[in-house]
Amino acid sequence: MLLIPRLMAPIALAVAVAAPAAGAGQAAARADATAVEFFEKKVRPLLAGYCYNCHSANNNSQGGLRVDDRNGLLQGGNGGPAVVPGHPEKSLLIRSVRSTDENLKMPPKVRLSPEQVADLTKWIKDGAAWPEVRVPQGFGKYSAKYDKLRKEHWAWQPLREGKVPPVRDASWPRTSIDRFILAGLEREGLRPVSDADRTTLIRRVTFDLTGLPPTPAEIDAFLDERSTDAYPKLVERLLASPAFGERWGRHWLDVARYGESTGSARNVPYPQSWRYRDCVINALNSDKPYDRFLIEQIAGDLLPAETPRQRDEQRVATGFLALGVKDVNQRFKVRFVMDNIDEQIDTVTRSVLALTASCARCHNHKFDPIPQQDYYALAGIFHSTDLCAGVRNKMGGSGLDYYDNTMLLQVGDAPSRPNPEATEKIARAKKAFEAAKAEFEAIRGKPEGRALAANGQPKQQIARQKMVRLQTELAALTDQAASGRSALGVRDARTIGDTALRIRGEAEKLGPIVPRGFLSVLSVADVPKINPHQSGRLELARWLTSTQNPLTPRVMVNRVWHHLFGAGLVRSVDNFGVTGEVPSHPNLLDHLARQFVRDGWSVKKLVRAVVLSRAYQLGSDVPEANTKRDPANRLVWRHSPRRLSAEEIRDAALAAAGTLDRTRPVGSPVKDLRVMELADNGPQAKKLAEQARASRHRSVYLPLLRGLVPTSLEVFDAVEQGMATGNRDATTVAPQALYLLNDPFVWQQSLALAERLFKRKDLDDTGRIEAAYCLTLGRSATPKEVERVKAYLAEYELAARAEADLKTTPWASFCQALLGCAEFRYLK
Amino acid sequence: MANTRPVATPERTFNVQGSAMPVSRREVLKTAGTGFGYLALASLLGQEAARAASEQPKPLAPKAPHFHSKAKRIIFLFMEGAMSQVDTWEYKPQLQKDDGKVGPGGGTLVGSKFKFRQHGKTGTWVSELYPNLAKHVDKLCFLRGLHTDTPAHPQAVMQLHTGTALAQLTRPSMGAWLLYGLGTENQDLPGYVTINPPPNFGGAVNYGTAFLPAHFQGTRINDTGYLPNLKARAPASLQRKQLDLIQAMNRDLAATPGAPDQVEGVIRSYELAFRMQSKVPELLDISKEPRAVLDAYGVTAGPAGSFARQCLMARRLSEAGVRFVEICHGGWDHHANLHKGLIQGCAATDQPAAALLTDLERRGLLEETLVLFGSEFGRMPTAQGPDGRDHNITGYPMWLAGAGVKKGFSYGTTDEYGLKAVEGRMHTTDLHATLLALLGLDHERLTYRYAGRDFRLTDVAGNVVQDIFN
Repeated sequence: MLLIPRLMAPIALAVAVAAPAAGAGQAAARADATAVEFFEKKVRPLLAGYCYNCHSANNNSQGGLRVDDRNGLLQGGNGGPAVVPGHPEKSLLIRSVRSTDENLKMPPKVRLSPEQVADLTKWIKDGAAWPEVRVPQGFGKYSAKYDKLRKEHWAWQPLREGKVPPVRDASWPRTSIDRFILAGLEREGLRPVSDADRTTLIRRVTFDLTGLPPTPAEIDAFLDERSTDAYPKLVERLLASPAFGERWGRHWLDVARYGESTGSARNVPYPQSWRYRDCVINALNSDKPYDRFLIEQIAGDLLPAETPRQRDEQRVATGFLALGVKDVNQRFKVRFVMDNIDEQIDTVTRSVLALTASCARCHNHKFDPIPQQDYYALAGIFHSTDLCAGVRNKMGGSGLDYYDNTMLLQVGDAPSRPNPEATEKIARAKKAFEAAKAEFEAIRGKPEGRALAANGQPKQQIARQKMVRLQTELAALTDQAASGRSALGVRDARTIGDTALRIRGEAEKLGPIVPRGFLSVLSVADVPKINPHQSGRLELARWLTSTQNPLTPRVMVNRVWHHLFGAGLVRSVDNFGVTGEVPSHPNLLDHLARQFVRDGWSVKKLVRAVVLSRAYQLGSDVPEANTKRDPANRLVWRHSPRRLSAEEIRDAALAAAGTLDRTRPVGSPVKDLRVMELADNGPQAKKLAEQARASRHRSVYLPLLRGLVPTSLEVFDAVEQGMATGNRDATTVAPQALYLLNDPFVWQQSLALAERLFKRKDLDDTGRIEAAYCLTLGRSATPKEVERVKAYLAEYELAARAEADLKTTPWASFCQALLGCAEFRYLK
Repeated sequence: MANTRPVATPERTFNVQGSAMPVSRREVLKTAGTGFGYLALASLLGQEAARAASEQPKPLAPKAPHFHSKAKRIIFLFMEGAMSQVDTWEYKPQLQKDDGKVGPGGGTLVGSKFKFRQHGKTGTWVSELYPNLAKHVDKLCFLRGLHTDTPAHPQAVMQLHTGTALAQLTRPSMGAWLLYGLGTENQDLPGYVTINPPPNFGGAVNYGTAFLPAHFQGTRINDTGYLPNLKARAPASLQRKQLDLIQAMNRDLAATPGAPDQVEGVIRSYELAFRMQSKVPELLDISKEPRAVLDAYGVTAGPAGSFARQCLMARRLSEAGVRFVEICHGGWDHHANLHKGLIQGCAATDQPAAALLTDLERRGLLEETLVLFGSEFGRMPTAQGPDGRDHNITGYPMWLAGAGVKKGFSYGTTDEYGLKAVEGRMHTTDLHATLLALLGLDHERLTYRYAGRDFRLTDVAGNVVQDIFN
């Protein structure tokens, strides 16, 4: 039976007071043992014998209906509720078994006896009793360890003062960050290494802030400028560059598990995802305060807007909640809904709070104090929210079956006056589609439909294909999405309310209703009560960004540190829970978090503060004493080298070759795709791969359908698009070498770079070699290197002649070697 | 959970991946007062040093299994689309007898139109659709009581390959887990190859690594042996020169103080890539096989010979030490056109699969290679339309052959109609646990920590079926 511990008291109350239809039916059913017996004896055998084959969880769910579960019957399938307790006359089940209509009657081949129909009718009239869901023993209980953890685990405690510590060597630190770092080193008897040279520094900070290499002119200017504020000036220039948003927006897109398709078993494109991408990049460039940014991500649609443009922007921001992985081939609507809610809860808690709250879907969290009730308190918020991703679930769908253009957000202005030519075209297309549909329906499931046509296919299959084709053509003409005036995102649902806890996480197994709310792991008092007429997303967003919430700024500050130092102060950037790691510099973390909030949640100010520290500007030497004591450089006695990300490697190659197009493309190639399943070796996939290869835009703008990531990104550990991920791999595998040696894209850039060198009429061979080094590695070549390259060029030319290889010029081959060498993709 | 770690109490100081950490009394005192005090750095740094020292320099180097095993490699012949078992491997006389009657779950029972006959010393019944494979029945080990969760191809294919059909979190594929657990024998080749995988139903997820590092990714090649970027752009002598220049630059970098640790890895990756360019096409070039071998497999050009080519490539890859090879024949989804479809599908797979078994045995490879054959689920004993069968996830077979499994053995059964598994039931997770065990891996110990918890191929379930081990 249900055990109700102290902490569940409000929930118990809610069960008693606010019982929804299903819950009420369940309670009534529970009371009547004879009704259950009647069901077991008379009704269940009927359902099992005649219906399970096509309508049960383990077999099939024709029409989205399952009859082996009470909620399945109440919710019904595509035709609406199959059972309305107490009302046989309103129950589709009864109408079907009584019907003689070919298309409605059930079971299809057998006619139930009048007694059987009477049994079904009586059962529904008496309230459609069903044996109660067994609640597991110990349900709702959790150990006292939860209270202890809430009080003691470091991450959930309020931000501490983070006082700047004293240091022995007062001459070393430049900023407060440095004092924290140096104090840590001094405690262990370690010294920081010397500062990085200026060539290294400009390359490092330019990549870190913009994802691009510094140009030779920028390097020269920085090296020539002797004033003390040369570096701060450089930092200001980079922060102001539009490339800053492209680089740092991409970091957020990683934790937003950005993708342009549903992924999963049936991969269906999201033609509007790119709007969200652009919106994130703009927000970073305009330095939108992070708290405001988060509120818009979660509840932008519920905020007032002064202009239509602002309204659109805020709507698009909620794409954050919409563009996750979805299993559109899911049979059951209720599972589809609950799976998507889980995906949203996981994304929000992991990205903003570095918590793994979705572990509490099926049971209390095993490690962190997140009871299952808390999970369903959040689930109620998302259950009251329409997930507008332009898709619906349907098992075994084809064509546009998965497309649902009512589940999209409107953006942009209303269309200008329709032109008569278009109207007429639409009318024609509509007529053609309707005719094809009638044709299909006329023979569907009938002998003449099953008869084979000349090509060996059943005639109904051919008719269906024709119908789908015409439907697609019609959709292309009429669809608002095709006209580009739609976006992914969320809006409050028509029905607002709390949702039931699901026993063992099974979508159909309803437990007690849980009032909407937030996670009890944090005590945040200054958040208004959830507006009963809204989903509660706005209050959730306020809870996340409350100044009493220590996790949100801690997690963000740590993410920024991670991107600038290669590792976070807390290494497990997406997990601050008990199984995560603890901070190497807890006081520094809190100091930065406080400063971040004090500075109005400005990401740019935070980045500036970090890169202006002396710690950031350290060289990468490795004195033995330090490596022995702290091999992983957790105390930051040097700057750890990092490999460039996939995007940076591609962008740097384009930049070196002079082929990079710095403008932002309009949309994405994905915006022209129809919302139909995409095979990963079909013509569309091939076309997208070609478009990606031909693109000269920055990598952040490449099409990113799940499972179809462009090769240039995929080989270098592209981000995992399945879930919020703040930390990418940097593996070293053979396919990377094969790509750099043989991929046409790399060769094209090598040729372009070689041509670029020869356009400079003022250069001799030495000058060209020097220039090539500067463009690719950001430094001049040593005399030894110049000699080696010259020898290579000469030797290669001879060998190439012998091989009659006129395609490859020695210079392009040398340029390719530069793009392929390790130094090109590692940053000191 | 197998890998229990200390919870965050004030005494706990630092948390290091995968290792329980001894905490000294002094350190406890240092931090206990605040619960959030300055780190016990001595301990922290010591752990980091230990981790750095133990870090695998070559993630794909062969690793010792958890326990001794005969099977070193696996070849999976994936029959995508769900082959009808009652027309091929499951002889159900009662079904023949009750043809036309209503089945236990509704629907009209329909017997097989194909004749079954007993084969080999074991007298195993096989339908006339598989005359060549029937000759091998005495070395096959049937799993006849399989069942899975979702009667839809996309989810079931993903579950068979990754252990889960849940959309929220993509998990690593079976082959990636094997590579993670065992490494690979031939460092000149990818350790995990999938030929001609289905382009949908999860696509690349089915041979992906998800959150495991990219080293364990399956390499996809098509049924003519094509692999992207494998063909050298320049003639070998010129490319070698270029590579020498790249490697000279890399060695210079490696020699600089404070160079990234991974530069050695970059140098190795280039040498491997260079070798792969010649080794892999050579390996996949089946045209050099003797005529007799090509004929035995039934190799021809074009779509008709696809599965034969795949079988032969699989043998060559496996022989060369590739840990996991998967090949695929699709088109088994016979909701309609069952009769003709089965004749075609079986004809396309029978001779090549039988030839593969013969070839492996003749070369002594079957003693250390495990062969797995089957679909993501089965089909109903009842009719769908005039000539079709619908999906059935409640009971269906697969078979194994080779290293570590009993010969001429059968585990589990379905009911008299072949509808539900009644004895020796094996869920997909049990199949995974058993396959890992056959390769020497304990599915409960093969874990990877990600997003705050330990993941397994079998999640929180899975029983090893010891009965089939020889």
